Amino acid sequence: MSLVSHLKADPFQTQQTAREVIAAMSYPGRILAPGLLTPALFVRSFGPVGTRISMTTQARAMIDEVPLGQRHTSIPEAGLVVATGSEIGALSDEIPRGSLSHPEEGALVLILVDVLDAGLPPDAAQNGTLRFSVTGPGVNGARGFTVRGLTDNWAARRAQANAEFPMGYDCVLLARDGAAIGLPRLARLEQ
Amino acid sequence: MNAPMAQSGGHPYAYLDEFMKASVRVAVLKAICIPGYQVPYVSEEVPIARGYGSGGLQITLSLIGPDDIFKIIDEGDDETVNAVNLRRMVGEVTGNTATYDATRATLIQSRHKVPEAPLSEGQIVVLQSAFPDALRFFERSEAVSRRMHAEKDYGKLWLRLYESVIDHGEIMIGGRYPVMVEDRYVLDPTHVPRWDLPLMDNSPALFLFGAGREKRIYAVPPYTKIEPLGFEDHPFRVENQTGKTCRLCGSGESYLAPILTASGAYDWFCSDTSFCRARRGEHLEDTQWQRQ
Amino acid sequence: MLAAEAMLDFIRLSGLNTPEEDAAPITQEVITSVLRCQRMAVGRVMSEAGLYAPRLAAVALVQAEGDAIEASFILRSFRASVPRIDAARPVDSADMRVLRRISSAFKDVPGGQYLGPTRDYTLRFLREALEHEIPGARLAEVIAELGGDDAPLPPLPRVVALLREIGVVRGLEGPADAEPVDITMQPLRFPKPPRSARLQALARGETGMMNGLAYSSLRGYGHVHPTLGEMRVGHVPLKVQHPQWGIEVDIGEVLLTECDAIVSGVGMISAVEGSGIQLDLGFGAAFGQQEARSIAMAILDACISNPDGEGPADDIEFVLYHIDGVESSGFVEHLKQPHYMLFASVMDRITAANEGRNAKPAEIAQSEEVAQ
Repeated sequence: MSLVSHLKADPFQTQQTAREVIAAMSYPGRILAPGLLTPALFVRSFGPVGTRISMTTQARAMIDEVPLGQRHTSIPEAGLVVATGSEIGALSDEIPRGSLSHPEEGALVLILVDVLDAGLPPDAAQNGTLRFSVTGPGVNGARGFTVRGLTDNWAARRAQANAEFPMGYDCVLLARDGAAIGLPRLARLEQ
Repeated sequence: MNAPMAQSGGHPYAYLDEFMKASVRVAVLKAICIPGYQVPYVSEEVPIARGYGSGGLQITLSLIGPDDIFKIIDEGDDETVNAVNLRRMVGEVTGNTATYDATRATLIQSRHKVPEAPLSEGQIVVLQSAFPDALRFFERSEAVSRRMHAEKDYGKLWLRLYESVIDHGEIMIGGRYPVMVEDRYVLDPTHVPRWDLPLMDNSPALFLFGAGREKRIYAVPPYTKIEPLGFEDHPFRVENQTGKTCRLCGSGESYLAPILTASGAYDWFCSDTSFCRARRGEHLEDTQWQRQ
Repeated sequence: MLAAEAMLDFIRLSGLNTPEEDAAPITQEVITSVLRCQRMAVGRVMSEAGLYAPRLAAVALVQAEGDAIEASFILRSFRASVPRIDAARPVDSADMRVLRRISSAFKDVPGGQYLGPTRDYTLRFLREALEHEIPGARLAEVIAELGGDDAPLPPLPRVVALLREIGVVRGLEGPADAEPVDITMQPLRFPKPPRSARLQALARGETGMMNGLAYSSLRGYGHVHPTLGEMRVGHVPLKVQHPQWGIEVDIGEVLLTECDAIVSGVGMISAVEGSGIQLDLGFGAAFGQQEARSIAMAILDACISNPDGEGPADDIEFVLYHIDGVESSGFVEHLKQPHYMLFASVMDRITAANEGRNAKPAEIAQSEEVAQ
């Protein structure tokens, strides 16, 4: 069954993916150079068998293979969520935020965007590139990044969802070229 | 170096199966995202006994990769029986390189000591934790202490500290000194000396805590504020080492541990033995382990 | 440290006080003899490890020189390293090839009571004659004594199932097909973990601790003093759904002990809407023939299911946190590790406090002023 295929997962790939994401979350807002991280490996590395996951149709279309062994559910029931940057603004309110006694139940969200950059590209104004400044634990001072392919209402929605720490959800943004950024719930995003 | 093998001796690289590793990895991630909160996780048995660092080992084995250089210390010493044993375990299931040099290690697993050498970004320190909950001193029930953490209700803890000052004129806590992380959660930093707590505050490195028997993982992310609890007129203080220096290297800026001499007096030594050796100009050796 | 392991093997293979000319028996034969002649130890180790693997349990016992908790740790550690393929179908003890089946609640029960192989009524005289036992001869004697009755037993319906049907015992809490929680895959959650999680944690508990806690309840430090509705020991078939064909297949059988304890004490019975007063049930089970721990488990199941009890055995956190032998023995033994930094820190605090105490009165007055 599906468990058998999970057994054959390459331990080196999941390990390296896990370290990339852990580094991204430890130093939020810092752009991680393209590495091994893909949606499939994200789910494999952070979704032990039995994890409830939710993948939007758009996200699924961008993925080569959907790893087996997890339970697919709706967003409000999921521990892992994979969605695209263009739909995440609308979905933010549904994402589990955990509870005061069990904040770890706030979901881990992988957001698929187009481009992540440290600086501002020349055609920024035309193609909806957003620029953010990140502060909080893990950031020595402040860190800036730009992103294209993310709805511009998401930052506000995210702030709302994470307003009552420890409740909230944690995100990794993954660009098409494999660059990534971590945004734990406590990281403050300012435009 | 040969390409690392996925399976050897019936076990995958780093011994743990993918289920266990994924369980630990997601707990580590949540711990980083909720600084100071004790994340419950499954914590299956590993070949090291409970109480001997199983939680720290689970974290190390779930995070380690072929390029990692690891260091393992116990009470600051790379050569205690337990440090040697854990190093053997990790070395034999990974075939990685082990080092005594804290500045070159990418993963440092430690019991009761933060390395004295300055740490840098990208390094991960894994502390072995026996008592993840700072409230367990006076609250036996997990359900009750969970509620206290949830509501940031630390009144009872402050009261205990206050009573200690009234009774003895001092906050009578040696190790396991409670600290407040990012003004939200009180965390038990394990039995590291109070001396080490400033090393954890706003550090470039990531601190992870593994309590295998109690099945909790918690974290102090890099560049995070940790504040040991104290009062304005009885603030937190590190151990008083006035007039004491290491008998071997002369250091007065590292945590010193006593050895009882035959005359009943104390001799003081750096507890971080590799730090001490480096100060004396010794070369800190690496060992290349072979996968069993 | 490597020398310590060598020393253990030295003692195991040559003995502490054995004359040199006595050759050690072949280890594989020792393992077989443990499997055959120490099945109670084997059953205990399997139960505490949560892994049904009799021969491996025997290997662990030989490896641990007979230390049962150490052996269960070794086996449990092995279990943690083995991948999970699938879940079996719930075992139906009605399918059991019964070795032993008794009920204390009734003089007789449908199908009958069968004493089976038990030490309960043996006279505990030390049988030194075992030193000279000739297995073949004794076996022939015993077979002759038992006679050749090979007839299958009549159907043995579960006593508790019948009592539920007539409404004497409370029905099951929650739907019968609810998915059980596996505490090796999800952390235990307090204040009240689901029943499947509680039972699993109890099933892996250390036998001595379980006996002690159950005893405390029987003696009055708790409120549960049940009557055994039924205890049965025997082999049950294990079935799984075939991954390709979808049909149920038999993959073997396991030796199980099962125990239903009917709780009838004052304060434990309560009226249920529409059904009147009903009795509660505690359930215990173990791998192998493990009667004491199964009964203890059933008692503890009843104790921790009731939120009103006040004895130590009624405190669900106390029981579930301290019942695990691997965890408890590990932590107790960890005190042997160096703790010199902790100790130094303690001494530092005491020195500081004593210095404060020994300060002259004038100095104390000064520091008080400053504090204000």
